[in-house]
Amino acid sequence: MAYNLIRTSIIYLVFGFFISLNSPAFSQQQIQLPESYSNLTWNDFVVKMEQDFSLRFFYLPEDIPKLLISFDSDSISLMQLLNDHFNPHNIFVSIDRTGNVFLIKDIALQTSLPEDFFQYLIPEEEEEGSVAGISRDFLKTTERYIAKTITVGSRKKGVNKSTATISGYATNAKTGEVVISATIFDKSSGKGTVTDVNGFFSMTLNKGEHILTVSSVNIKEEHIKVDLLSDGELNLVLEDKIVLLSDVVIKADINNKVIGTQMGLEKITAKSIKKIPLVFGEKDIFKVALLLPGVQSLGEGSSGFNVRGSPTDQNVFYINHVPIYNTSHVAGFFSAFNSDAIDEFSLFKSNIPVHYGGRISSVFEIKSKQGSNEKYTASGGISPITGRFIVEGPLKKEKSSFLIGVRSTYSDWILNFVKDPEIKNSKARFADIVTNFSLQLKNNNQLNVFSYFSYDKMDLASQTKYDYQNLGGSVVWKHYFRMKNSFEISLAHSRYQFSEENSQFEIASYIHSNQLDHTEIKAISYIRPNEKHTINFGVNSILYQINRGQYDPLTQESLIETTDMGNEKGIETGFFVGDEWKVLPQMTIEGGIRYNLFTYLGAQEVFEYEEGFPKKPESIVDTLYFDNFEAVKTYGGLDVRLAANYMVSDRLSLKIAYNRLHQYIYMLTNTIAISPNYKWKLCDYNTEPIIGEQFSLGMFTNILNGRMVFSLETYYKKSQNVVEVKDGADLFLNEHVERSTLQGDLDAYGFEIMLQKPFGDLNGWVNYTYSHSSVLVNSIFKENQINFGEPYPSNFDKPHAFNFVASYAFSRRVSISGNVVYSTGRPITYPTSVYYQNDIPTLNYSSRNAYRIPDYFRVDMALSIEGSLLKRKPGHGSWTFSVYNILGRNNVYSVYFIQEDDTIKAYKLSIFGVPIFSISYNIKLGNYASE
Amino acid sequence: MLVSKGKSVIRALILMVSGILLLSSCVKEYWPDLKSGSDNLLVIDGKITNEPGPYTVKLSMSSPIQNPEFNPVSNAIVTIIDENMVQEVLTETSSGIYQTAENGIKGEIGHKYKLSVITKAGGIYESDFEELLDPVGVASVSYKQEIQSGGNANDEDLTGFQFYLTTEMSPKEKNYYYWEMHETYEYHSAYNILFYYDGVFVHASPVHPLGLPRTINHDTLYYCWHSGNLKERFTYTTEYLTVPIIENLSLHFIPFSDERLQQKYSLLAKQFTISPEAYLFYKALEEQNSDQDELITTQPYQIRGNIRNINDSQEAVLGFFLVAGVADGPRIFVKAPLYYKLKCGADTLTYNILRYITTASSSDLPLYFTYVYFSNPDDPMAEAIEALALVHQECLDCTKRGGVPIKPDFWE
Repeated sequence: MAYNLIRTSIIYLVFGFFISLNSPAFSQQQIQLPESYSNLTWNDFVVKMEQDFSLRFFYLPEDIPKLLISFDSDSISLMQLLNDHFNPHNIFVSIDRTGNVFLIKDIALQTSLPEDFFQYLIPEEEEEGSVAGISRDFLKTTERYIAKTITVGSRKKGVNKSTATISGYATNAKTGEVVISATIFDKSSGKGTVTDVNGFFSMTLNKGEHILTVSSVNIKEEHIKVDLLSDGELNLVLEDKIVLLSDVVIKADINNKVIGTQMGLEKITAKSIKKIPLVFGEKDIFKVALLLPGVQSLGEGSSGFNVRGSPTDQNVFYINHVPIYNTSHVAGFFSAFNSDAIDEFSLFKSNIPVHYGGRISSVFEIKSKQGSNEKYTASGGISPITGRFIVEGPLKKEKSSFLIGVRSTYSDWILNFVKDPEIKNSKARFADIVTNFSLQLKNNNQLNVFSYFSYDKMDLASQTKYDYQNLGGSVVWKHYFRMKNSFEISLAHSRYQFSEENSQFEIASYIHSNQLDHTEIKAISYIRPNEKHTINFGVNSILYQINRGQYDPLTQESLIETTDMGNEKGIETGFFVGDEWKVLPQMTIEGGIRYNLFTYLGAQEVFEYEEGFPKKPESIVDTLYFDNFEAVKTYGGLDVRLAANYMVSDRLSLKIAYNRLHQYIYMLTNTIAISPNYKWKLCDYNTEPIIGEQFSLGMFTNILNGRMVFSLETYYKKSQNVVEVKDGADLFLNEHVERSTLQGDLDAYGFEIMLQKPFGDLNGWVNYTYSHSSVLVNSIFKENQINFGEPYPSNFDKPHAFNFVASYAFSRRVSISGNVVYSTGRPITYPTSVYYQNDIPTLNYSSRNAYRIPDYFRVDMALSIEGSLLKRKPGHGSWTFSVYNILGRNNVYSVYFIQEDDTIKAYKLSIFGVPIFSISYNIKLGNYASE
Repeated sequence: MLVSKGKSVIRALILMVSGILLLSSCVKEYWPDLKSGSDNLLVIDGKITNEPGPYTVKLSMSSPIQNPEFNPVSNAIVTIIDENMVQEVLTETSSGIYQTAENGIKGEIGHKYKLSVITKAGGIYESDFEELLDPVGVASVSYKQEIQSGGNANDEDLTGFQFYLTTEMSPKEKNYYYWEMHETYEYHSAYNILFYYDGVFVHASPVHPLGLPRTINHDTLYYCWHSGNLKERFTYTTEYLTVPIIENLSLHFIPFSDERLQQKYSLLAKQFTISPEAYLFYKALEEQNSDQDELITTQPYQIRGNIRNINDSQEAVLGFFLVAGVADGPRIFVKAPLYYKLKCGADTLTYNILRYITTASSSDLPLYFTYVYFSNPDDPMAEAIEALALVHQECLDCTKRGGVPIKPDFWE
């Protein structure tokens, strides 16, 4: 097949005016035709020539006269043959060194230029043989040529060099989005690389032919044959993977873990969790995250995560640049993200990218799906709790797309049938909506407009009502420069609103609402001065505005005093620069620094307490007043990121990392499990920023011929100024939080072992984590101590954790999967003696968290059945039957003691003490393989 | 107040999913392994109020939780000190219980008091001087019939009386209260006694079947009154209220199935006006001993009172020396709805009483006898038959159920 001259040729045409019309032909022109042809049509001739001699023909079809090509001499050269046929029509033939054949009417093209000419005049990407600026059309065409070779670079540039660097971007053919963390692997040399956040990759190989295997979590694996002549670009346009039943459970790419510098990174796609059995059949990426090493929660139904022994407020959740401040529905039973609308999520628990700051333990980066830019489609599902619906399609075909995903509960009417008044009068409803618009603009620009809304309404026995919502949006503009560089600017806003109606006590019934606004602007540039360095730098700035809210009487009868808790504001700015440096072919170092500035802003009335003494009304030495936006206090802090990867062999890498981070916002709650009415609070005049440091080491290896990946990671973490609430402190209507909180140190260490089998009919993973986490709050003043100044295990300290997740496909239509989860029971404080206070038997408690609840053990199973595999059908359905806690084990959530008359009784509370069966049904337009 | 009703969320959710099928209990009795777990701490607990004495201070050691008991600490020197240097050493009236004299020190409003204890071992313990506050009165105590859920997931709902209290308006803005509930109830035995055998026959019925003279009045075993403090704490504050008055504060709930509502129930609320520090102590105890059954709870901790070892601040001392103004609420009487049935089986005697008595071991004595009427279950229309029956002691002798057969003076 020949190429029309079109764009590429124009440049040659232009050059044609400058260069001498008479030129010597080059070696390719000396091609001798071995056999005789007779009466071939021009098209057949071109096909034959391209096949036999690796030639490419460029011409304008309308220029070519209708002629048949014949010759019978076995010594005729190609050049001669073409000249014979075309010169009479005033068409001139030129052949260059790499086998491009140009046929141009009226103009003879010079294909070789003076040595210095190209250096100055021809843009690098336009040079012969380079596939730079490859369009999707082009690659689609070349796909058929994959058996042949894509030539990268030019011989000229590769002269006197034995190696060359191949680089480029990977993009998704369907959405046009960059593909992050795709692995490009050269089997012959065992070298590989991973695309970065911009989809960019670069690797140095010996010159010559290579077969590159490109794979990633969500895309179809491709094999590309490359003839590497010199440094050059190869842009990859990759097709989405069609998920087959036999394919995935988890798809953290096998090469990826070993090759990249990243450590403590877990990546999960929404598709891959399709088969994992979950409570109430509700697909939930967060519940799957809990099956990963180093991720814990307090217990079933508690909100938030504890990543490597850190409290939940040290994690941040970003969905398409929008931070979400309450990530759970129904106070922790479900995650606030509809898995159907999510593409994948990454959890950074060790090496946090330098462009993220402000939370010291982990970053959950969630990417929503992009709509299809090819056709309109819809999918949906129903489970016992929720109904879900997604619609997507192109706004402009192949250029821009939209996606809207809605999920909502529908089943709380059942409660009306229950006799128990407490339940009958309870309600729990939630919904969330995601919209995503993605636009490919001209000149390498990309624009993404995203919005997120979630809403929860809970009514507990008509005594307490909670109502909360997240509302956020982001606009991201990304520009790719020619020279492998990119620039991205994003603007995001997120609002978390919480309101509460409490009528437990009629005279003190109140209504309260509070709100947090997070406005963030972030600009980041990636530049690659040479093949060894990838530099990113930029700035982000966050304005936090917290309205701590007002308490108002709920009814006429209520005597509660209207109390305004006031507002607070703070601005956090970070300047960052990072570099990924390939020091040696086997060694990469990633380093970064980030300077944070946090300013707590007025208007504010601030108490200054006597230095070093407990903060209480009596120790106030001064009261300071600040105007609106006046700086109350500024904290500066230097963050450090350091990581190194050493490839001992192609299959084994050792990694090391050190991170230091600062945090300026914390969660204010005095309960063990996070209460739904927690509040966010900024560090202020009296509360210092939280500083976190983590040191980690890791070993990653592919075993069994790359069918499994084994990793071992170990870490030590220290957090300073962690905020703990004093024993017995009441946060209700507490305007001066500093008097009820203390700051202490948190120590955590542990190791994580993980074995993954990502492919095959049987796939899954198994992991074991040993960990330790303890807190110390000490002072010479007793009132500033917690647990008498002794260290105590943190609430979520579970030393041993074991997770096993597996899925087995019997056929494309039927698969089963299961989980086995074990962990040590969480720490708990038990009473250790009883005494009589005012003749009432009264419990005296042990030191904090001195005991543990019984160990946790659970087995889940699920069976998935897909509808028929008929190709032509309007819609495809699938059923999932799952049983959560199939053994019906009464896993203990908490143990408590109650004085009943003259005795003390102890009870255990479990949440899902029975197997929970559920059925969910999903449907989508199209057939089994439809996206 | 910050603690949510988490348990009901779970139940609501499970029900949302499964309808009524899955009403399995989420709460089970369970006794964890407390290891060595018992600490032996000194408890000093007592109070002084504006009510006339004698005032009591109790000294004890804490006990293992499996068997709560009062382990008295004797031979200590316990002194209540008025800041005006009036003081009184309390007398140990029974082991571990120290009392002021009948006509001894009297709590005066506006005075400050503290407690000093010197144990036999030589430890010196003191509280700080605390002012006896002017008590705020109780305006009313009331009750309402309500349906409340039983404690556990699968408990049935209960109908009963919920009690409420309203304070008088306080002249001060911020007030802190602690309430004690003194309850008295009248209750009856299940049967009138005919006679009992305690080595000899003692006849109680006014009409003796054998014509023998009556030696005791059967009423003294039939009518009883029980008095005591409710073993629940109540605290509240006007700190966040616009008007320093507390209206309809929920007190306790008594289901109709409770013995206290067998005949007549009387409640006297004692309202203590206390300091903010005392409030924190009592409120913490109230929460820690009642709210731990929820999903979302605060971290329990050792609640120390206001008494310290002056030589060793690290020593944990439990209990509190309360200095408070106290006001009694209006006493209320509640006529029972008569739903309560004392469950008393009676063994009708199918053989000779004498033979029964002679075979009974001495530890079973005394044996109580009455007449019961029973119907033939196969022939409900037939006339009930009167029969002599041997009944459990508690069914005939109301004093065996904790009360006394003496009608209180205030009883209506």
